[in-house]
Amino acid sequence: MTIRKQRSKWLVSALCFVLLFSLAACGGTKDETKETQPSTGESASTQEANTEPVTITYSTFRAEDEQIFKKLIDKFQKENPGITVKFDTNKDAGAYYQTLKANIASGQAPDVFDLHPNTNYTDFAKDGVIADLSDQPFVANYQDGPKALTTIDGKIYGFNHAVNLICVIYNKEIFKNHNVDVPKDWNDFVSIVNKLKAEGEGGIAYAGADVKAVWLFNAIANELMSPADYKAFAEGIDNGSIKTIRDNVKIYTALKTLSEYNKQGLLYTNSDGVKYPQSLSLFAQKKAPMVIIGTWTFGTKETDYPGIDVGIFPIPTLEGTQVGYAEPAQISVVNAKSKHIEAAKKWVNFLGSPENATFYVNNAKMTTTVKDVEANFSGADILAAQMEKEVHVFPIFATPNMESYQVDYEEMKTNILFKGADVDKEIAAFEQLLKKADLKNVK
Amino acid sequence: MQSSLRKKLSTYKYVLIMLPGLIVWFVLSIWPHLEVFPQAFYKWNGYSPNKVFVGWQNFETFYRSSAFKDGLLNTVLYVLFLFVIQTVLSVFLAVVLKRNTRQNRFFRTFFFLPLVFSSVMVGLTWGYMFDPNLGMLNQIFSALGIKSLESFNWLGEPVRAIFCIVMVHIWANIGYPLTILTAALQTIPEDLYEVSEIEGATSMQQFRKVTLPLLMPALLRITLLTVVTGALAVDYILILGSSVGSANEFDTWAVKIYQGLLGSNLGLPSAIGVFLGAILFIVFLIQYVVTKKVEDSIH
Repeated sequence: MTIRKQRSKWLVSALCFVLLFSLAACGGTKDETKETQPSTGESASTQEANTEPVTITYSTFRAEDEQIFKKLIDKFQKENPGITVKFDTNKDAGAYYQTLKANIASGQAPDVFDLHPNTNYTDFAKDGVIADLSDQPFVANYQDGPKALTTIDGKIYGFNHAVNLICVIYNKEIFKNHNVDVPKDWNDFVSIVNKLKAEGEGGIAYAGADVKAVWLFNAIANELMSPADYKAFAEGIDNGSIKTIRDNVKIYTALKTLSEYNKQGLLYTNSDGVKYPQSLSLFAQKKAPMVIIGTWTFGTKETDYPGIDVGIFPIPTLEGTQVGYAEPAQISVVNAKSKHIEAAKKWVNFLGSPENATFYVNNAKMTTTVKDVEANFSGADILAAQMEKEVHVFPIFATPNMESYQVDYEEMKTNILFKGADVDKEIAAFEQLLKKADLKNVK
Repeated sequence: MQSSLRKKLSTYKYVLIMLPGLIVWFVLSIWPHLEVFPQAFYKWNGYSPNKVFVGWQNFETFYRSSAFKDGLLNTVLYVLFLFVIQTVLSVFLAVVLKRNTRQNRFFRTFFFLPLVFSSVMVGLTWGYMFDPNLGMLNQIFSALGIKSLESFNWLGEPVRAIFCIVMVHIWANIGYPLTILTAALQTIPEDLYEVSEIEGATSMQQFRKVTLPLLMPALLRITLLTVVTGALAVDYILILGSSVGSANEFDTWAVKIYQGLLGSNLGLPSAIGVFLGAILFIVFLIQYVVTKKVEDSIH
């Protein structure tokens, strides 16, 4: 009896152990797919020789563009009667990538899918997940900047639809009422913000609770240095070859600039607690005369900040305010193992043609990456004026070890920007953690 | 009839009856989760055929990072706040709403209601409430003339942020322990209260000597559930924290697992899962021993 009791006790314990571990790892299995073998290579040309109607799937995280893409799909299907495009979207970026990776692993990835520039684009290209599109017609229309951006080891793997400036969007009426204009340099910028605050206006709205110091730092650092230099820095941190941040004068200046944003009280009160929608609300309610945000909001300005006449200028740095900063929008790529690879490429070429790119950017209200595209939406002139000046686009790079130091890296910037922490002390603390992470010897 | 049938069924027959369900449960739920263990020893991006065996590197990487210590501290704080506040509050509410009157039934439904809302909706709504500049909470304090809380940054400091998030968690989920405790209270015989009343026990003495001991088995089960749900809570922390995946000062280990799953090495979140699972197993063992002792003492 006792033995049976003991046995059942152990059985119960073992079952609970298994259950607890299952719970602890909850969510982790969605991507825990079996190792996939490289495709035996279904011949694309054989597929394309087949004239039977085909259906391809296009998946994007840009759920807000659903109506735009549906119209483009209608047009594409009329021009290509044999091809049906199935549209699929998921606005939740986390869920989008989890599903995408699981589908890639199981060989069921969409024929064409969109990627954020710094989410797996490089890895997918290097791992042969996405097809080489270098010889496709859309490349001829591609502007040089985005072409270089999406080129990995000399090959182009995707079509980057547009870029968005991350900048200061200001309320022209408030600026006019207080007799101030777009700042010419750092000192001018500080005095404008101080003047506005002294005359009863708020600081600059910034969604610090959501984006921490990321937008501000990325913008400032990339305005101060070329995309190639920034890429070298980011990769250097990741592979352990960079040990001292202070040696990189531009990055050091970027951190110093963050510190000045804190010291001068340039941001709106409690910016570290302001979330994205609230930063727009502060601007829309005219509590903040400026907001640091992306120009993708031009597409939704009638709901985000209705009736406000806006202008833009690059996020000021200690070295000036002239160079702009932009982040690439989505990149459409073709699944290298697509059964209908030619149809999939046709869809990307369609999207990248000047005519259809014009339709897309004028409806999504973004800055185009395609030559001969005329943007005529409200605010297009403001974007064009900045794009004509120098703009640095955030580079695409791979940082496979990022999980080892990301928290500390962001904490360093957050502490400087929001808590007024000493730049040198924060750098020293981060470098200690980098040393501990020993990234040079990570497999 | 039923008891005679039960006698006829041996242990093996019980197992046989349960077997189809157990197989489905094991194959669809347990087996995929067990794969976390080997996964923790690999560096793998989730889709590539190249899985690199890295031994203990993922465990080491996590252990060396500040996410280990900070995340553990945040997890412990989250669980502790959740456990203490939710337990006290749910026992209090269960006792207050014990009698089966129309009014109490209304309030039980009222407290249960937030459970039907999605955590995303709850999180977003509370995000608006907590906003330091435009949030409703600060506007209420401002209207009440409490100047110090007029532009208070509720989520601006890790311990305070965890406390606030736990309060949202409790607001949304209190209905669950409340239902269990209300049901447990209904099983306590009224005679015990009558006898204690005749013997001159005060309400507090009745609570301490009758209600609490007899609620203990249900409470202990709720304890384990609270610890597990607290340790694995992700949704409210993510929604009230950074929406773009940047690290928060109040991220727990469970959040690190979620963030890791979106990264380029699934081995790392797997290693965190193993760490967390080990701790939860120890908690389970302690809870199991304590429950056994309490149940034995009651019986």
